[in-house]
Amino acid sequence: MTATDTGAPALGSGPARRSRRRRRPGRSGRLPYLLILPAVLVLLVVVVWPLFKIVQLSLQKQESGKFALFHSGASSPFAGLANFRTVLSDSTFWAVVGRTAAFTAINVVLSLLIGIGIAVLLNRVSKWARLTLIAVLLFVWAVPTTVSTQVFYWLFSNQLGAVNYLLDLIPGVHMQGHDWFADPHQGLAVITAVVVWGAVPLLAISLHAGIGQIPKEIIEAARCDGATPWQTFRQVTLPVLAPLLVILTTLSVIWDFGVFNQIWFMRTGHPEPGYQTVGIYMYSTGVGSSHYNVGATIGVLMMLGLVGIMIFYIRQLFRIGDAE
Amino acid sequence: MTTTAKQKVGWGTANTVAVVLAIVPVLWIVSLSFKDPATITDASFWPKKWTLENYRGIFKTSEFTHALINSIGIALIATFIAVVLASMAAYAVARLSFPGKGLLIGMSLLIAMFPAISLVTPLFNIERSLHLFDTWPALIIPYIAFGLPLGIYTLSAFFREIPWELEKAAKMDGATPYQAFTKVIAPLAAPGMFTTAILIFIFCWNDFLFAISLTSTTNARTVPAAIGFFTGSSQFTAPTGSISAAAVIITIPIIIFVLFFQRRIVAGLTSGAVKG
Repeated sequence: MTATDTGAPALGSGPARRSRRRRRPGRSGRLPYLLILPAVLVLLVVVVWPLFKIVQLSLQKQESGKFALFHSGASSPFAGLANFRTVLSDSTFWAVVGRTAAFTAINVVLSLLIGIGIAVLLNRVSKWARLTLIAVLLFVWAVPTTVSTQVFYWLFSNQLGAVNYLLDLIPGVHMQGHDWFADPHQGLAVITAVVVWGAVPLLAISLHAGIGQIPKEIIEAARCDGATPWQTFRQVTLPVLAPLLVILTTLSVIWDFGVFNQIWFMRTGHPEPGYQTVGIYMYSTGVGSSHYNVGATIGVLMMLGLVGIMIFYIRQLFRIGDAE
Repeated sequence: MTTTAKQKVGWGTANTVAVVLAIVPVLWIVSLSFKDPATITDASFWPKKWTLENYRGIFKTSEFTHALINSIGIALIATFIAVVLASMAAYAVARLSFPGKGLLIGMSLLIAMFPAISLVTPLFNIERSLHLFDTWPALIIPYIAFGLPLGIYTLSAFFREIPWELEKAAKMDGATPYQAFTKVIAPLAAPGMFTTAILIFIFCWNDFLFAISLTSTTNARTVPAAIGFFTGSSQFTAPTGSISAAAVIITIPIIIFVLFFQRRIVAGLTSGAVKG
């Protein structure tokens, strides 16, 4: 009963299928390439070209303001690593990085804890209750972030917000008219609520599927041996879920690090300095104020930071044998 | 396997709390959208007087109707192309072996989780120089690209489940390759393709980042971006009613998908385990 033999149950593909697929090695000829060609072309145009472009932009001299648009890539002078020096020696950048790291850590931990909780819950309740909860979770997953952010903005708003009203009902708490967004820390806490609210469903559903793959006999055996529910969870469920949890954690880190919509929309397109995470900072610098070269430099740095995490994730997937 | 009544009640309560916490924010926006503009800031959860005023209001403006048409058109076209291209690639991945397959899977996984935000700045520049900026293709092309990895991944998982021997059996029974494909394989592949289409559609429909970055007028601006522009108009005359009505309208397709295709979406999500 090691962690690996059950694999990531939710991502399963059996070994039997693999042998079938390899039945005629090397005889496919040109067909597979013709089949993947259109997809590869689109990815080259939309992903690889911009990637090349962003690196190119980051190495060119920052053109001032709006004129940057009228310069074609070739005419801008090469600036070496000047942009990188500018960004890396900027204390604002480091403040933004620190804020993003803290924001990401809090969001990932909260979403995973709640996700695990709900996954366990889903395995305990009656069928009817489970189907209701799954429907609601899917709905939450699918609601556009613009809509959910708007709702949370209003829930916490000091004019029509229900949260202040409810908190005010607690004796000794005076929240009427409290502005949650005056202090970026409180504002980011509200944003965390939206992000976690939106992130939990996918985690809970994946983990629920994972728990469902655990053989009932193992759980039963643990219980017969006198394990408490908590011990069963710690000693049986968690180890089996470990590979899936690693993947979900990695994905959550990448997603939460790149959170944009919720912050941008919550601050109606003008996030104050205290709200800027790396994504927002990059966007406001690049598209927002036409400092494309500096924006691109931040983008390159952000990607370099994330590449390590991504490689870890892909290796993890390959190890489980799902991606082959 | 005996669960005490007390435990049962406990889990049931937890379930109810989870459902309520998840659904209340959404119900509240529905309620707001039906409130009379004059009483929208009152504290009551349900409207005291139900009205369609907000809905009538947004459909009067071409700003919203344009955005709705853009949203529907762009999401449908992008989903269709992405599913076709992803099916071709996924067939190759699931059924054929060829050098470079690992690279293709690795690359699409990398892109699937790539923070789109880091590509927005260069895409913006590229689309400007190609005069694509603020047109339908400006959004359709990136949506296809970001839908593809998700599609390839989900579809190849589905395609692996198909008993392809049936194709051979049909041919032995005298079916032409075309018949074998349309009569045997296509019906088996359709559910997976449909599920993938739903996932990609939801991604396109909900996108906000590309929509605000790669458009600048009602020409191609989709509803999520247009809502953003409702908000920004003024701090004091917050168009709360219009925003909530628009939010409810863009959520309707999502509700339909979830209600009718719940099991499919769960299958797609857990086979792909990649969010769009």
